[in-house]
Amino acid sequence: MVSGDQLRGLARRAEAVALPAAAILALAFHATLPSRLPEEADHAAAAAAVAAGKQPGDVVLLHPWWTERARLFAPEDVPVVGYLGSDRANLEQAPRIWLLSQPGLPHAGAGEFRDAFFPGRSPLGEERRFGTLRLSLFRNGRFRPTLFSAAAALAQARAWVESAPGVKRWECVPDGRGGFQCPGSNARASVEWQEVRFEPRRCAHLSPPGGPDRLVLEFPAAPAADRLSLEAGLIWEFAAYRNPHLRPVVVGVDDGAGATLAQVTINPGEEGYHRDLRPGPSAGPLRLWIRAELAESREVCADVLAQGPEAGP
Amino acid sequence: MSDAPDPGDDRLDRRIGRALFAAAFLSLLLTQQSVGFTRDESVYFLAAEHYGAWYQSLLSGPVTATQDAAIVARWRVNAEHPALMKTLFAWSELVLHRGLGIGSPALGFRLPAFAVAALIPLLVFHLGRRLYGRPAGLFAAVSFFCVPRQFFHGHLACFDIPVAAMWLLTVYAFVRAHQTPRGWVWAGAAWGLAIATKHNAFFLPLVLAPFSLWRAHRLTRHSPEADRVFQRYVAVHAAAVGLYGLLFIVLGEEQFKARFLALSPHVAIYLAAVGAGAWCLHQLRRHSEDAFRALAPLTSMAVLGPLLFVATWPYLWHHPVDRTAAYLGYHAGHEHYTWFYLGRLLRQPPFPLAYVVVVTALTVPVSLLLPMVAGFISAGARALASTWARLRAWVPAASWVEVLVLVNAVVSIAIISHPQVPHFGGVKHWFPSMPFLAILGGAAADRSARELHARLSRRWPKLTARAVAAGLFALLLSPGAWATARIHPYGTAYYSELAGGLPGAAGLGMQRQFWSSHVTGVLPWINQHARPGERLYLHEVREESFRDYQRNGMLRADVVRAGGPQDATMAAYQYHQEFRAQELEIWQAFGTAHPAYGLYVDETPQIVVYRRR
Repeated sequence: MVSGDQLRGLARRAEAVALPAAAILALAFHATLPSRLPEEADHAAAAAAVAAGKQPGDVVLLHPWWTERARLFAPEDVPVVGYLGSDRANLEQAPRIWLLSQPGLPHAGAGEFRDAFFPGRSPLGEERRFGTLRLSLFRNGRFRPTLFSAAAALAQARAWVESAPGVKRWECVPDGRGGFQCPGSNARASVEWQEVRFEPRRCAHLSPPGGPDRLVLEFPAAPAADRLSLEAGLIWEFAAYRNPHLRPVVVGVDDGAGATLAQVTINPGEEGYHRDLRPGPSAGPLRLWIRAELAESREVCADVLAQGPEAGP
Repeated sequence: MSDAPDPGDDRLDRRIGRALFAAAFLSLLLTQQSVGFTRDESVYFLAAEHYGAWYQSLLSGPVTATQDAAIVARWRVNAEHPALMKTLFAWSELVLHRGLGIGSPALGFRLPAFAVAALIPLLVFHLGRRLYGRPAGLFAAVSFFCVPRQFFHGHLACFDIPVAAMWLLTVYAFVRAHQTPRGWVWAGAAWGLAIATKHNAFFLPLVLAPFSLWRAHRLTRHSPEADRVFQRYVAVHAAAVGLYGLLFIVLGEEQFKARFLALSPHVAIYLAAVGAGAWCLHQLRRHSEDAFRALAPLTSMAVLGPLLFVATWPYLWHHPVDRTAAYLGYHAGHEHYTWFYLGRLLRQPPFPLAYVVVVTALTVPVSLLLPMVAGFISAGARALASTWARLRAWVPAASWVEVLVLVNAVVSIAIISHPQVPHFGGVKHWFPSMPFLAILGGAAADRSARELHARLSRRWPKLTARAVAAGLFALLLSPGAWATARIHPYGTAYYSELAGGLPGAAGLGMQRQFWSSHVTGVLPWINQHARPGERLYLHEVREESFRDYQRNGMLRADVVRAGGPQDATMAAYQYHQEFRAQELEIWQAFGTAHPAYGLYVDETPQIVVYRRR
């Protein structure tokens, strides 16, 4: 049986060891932290290496995702990807990925990153070091050539609001900035940078007309492709809310004859992109549409991609 | 806790207290210039200007100035917070900056905040040394501003550090009231100042009253006369509470407020309760001075609290009840601001129960956190031993003051931990707990120093206890002091070693900054690179702050404020996870995703500057 004195003595001894030990470890942390951070010259040198070896379609991926200081230095024509969740991004539109990594940072999560990033990717050359920065070039086996993008082709589309499939209510008119406004309705479409669950993307920003009506964007000549990809996500903080008055929003893609090829339904509180992948399509018109019973706070960032075959490992 | 300290010791302790006050005040004063203006601070600057103008009009025409319309014209600005601190900011700026031409307007406003903040080390020292001895008090006092976020907030002309100071002052005065014949007056006055500082202090009577009642019960239970008076005192106040409840039920909320007039049952109940309570106290003092001292602070608070609250806030003078109700109603229904926590954006309640504890653990330097935890556990065990006799075989019982410190260390943290209470503002909303945690940390540090001395002196007999304590204290304080110096003036970005510093916190998915003060990190670059008349959008920086940066010489006067990226040619984006969409608006408007400049602290983006193509 331990006596009170013994117990208190034990606690005092533990305290007398733990407190100075914690302080020594803390001092060691502060002393070593600067050596785990890159210098400005390191960033500049890494950016110069990317600039020297870049090819069209390349992207720079940051690890950890938040190390955005690299954007200051990166070549302007090479997109820099870094957002909460970008470790898992397929980056399907990039044939090659420059991985700019700082694995020595606290809580960098190098193991989780490797598990998420490496499948399907193969290194092209040796890793290069610039101070604490690591730069590696990878072939992206998850790459799929984009043959058609609704966001990129929005200016060539026709737009209208219809009360039922094929029953037009209003024609929408170009807004002069590559998008559409729909007189008589709050529906609109434009190409913008938008964020869906932290991911920045240049996409078609679609506002549904509300009620049973749907906004339709018709693209006259999409090419035949290996795969059709419909992606859509609610924008702004409204995506997170589950208020009872909010309603689902439905986004779909029809072919020229009105047959639905792909469709996603986004319910209140569902954040992030919803994706529907289908084989095909054959060449011809595509119609991207959106509908929400209550349009309030149900604006969507969407894109339809016709993609070629995956590059593979 | 010693009631009669040695006079020589007392003089030395007073000197130490004054030195701590002076050191804290000077350290804040000498480091204030680079601290940016948080969103709330510029509102308080503006409010102080209005209040200052009213005081000037009071001097020139007191009859007109005290009309309700004249009061409202000036005092409705920021009527969601009481006026004491803003009044001090106003007077200081009027006298120092406008009157004597000393320093910038911001320095004028902030000086009273430094003085009130500097009370914390002083009071922590005095309460700590009375409870645990001088070394413990000294360590606790110095440790308070070795927490980087506390040091940062100490600079601001806001209310979060001041209310922590006033809370501590009230508790200290309450303790002293039990030991001195007239201390009860000061306890009441201190609480009046506390509620005139910020609404947190309204919780204080709920913390203090149980101690008063328990103490009085213990002190009167062996004296039938004293016990009878004590019971009357309790009955009077219980009756008052019951009558108020009855009025509220009968009249309903609106009528209850509407009929709270000078001549109303409400006031009659209050006066009757206070009068009867005072009479009971008068009777009680005949039988037991100690019991009187235990209860008198409560009545003093009931009288002086509302008096000081209303007296320092002219906005309430003509409509004290409905405007107080509106003020409290505002805080009862405060909106929620989004906050990034462990990779999640917290937008709406319920918030995680562990949020406050986790954030505290990640933002207090680990060499200060550990003594706090050790001190808390130790005091908690002794508090349990006070009520559970079998535990006293292992740990001695705590004094009531130690339990009081323990409870105050927990209360603010517990209140903010409630899942329905808004969680924003980093750590500042539970600052009133931190001085008490510092005291408990001081006790642990002192205990460790004694233990180390006992061990080391066996080997090195000439080693003094003072030398060991000094060495250990310096060791424990230095990581916090180092981090404070390194992160300054970006204190809201600080994360402890436990989090892995700021880079580790970014990896954990924690909020990196808040409320725009870090924009000072890019102002020199903007001043250097902005074209004449450049239209500048400072994201999340209020219009008042923009004006304050210009009039305090931190931003070029010719730069024009833009309300958004659409009408701007240069933009400085505040990196918040919940604001990423607003950064993309800048990309969209400016036609580029490539930053021109940025403030990166330990590699984490804080402010990103863009120029239009």
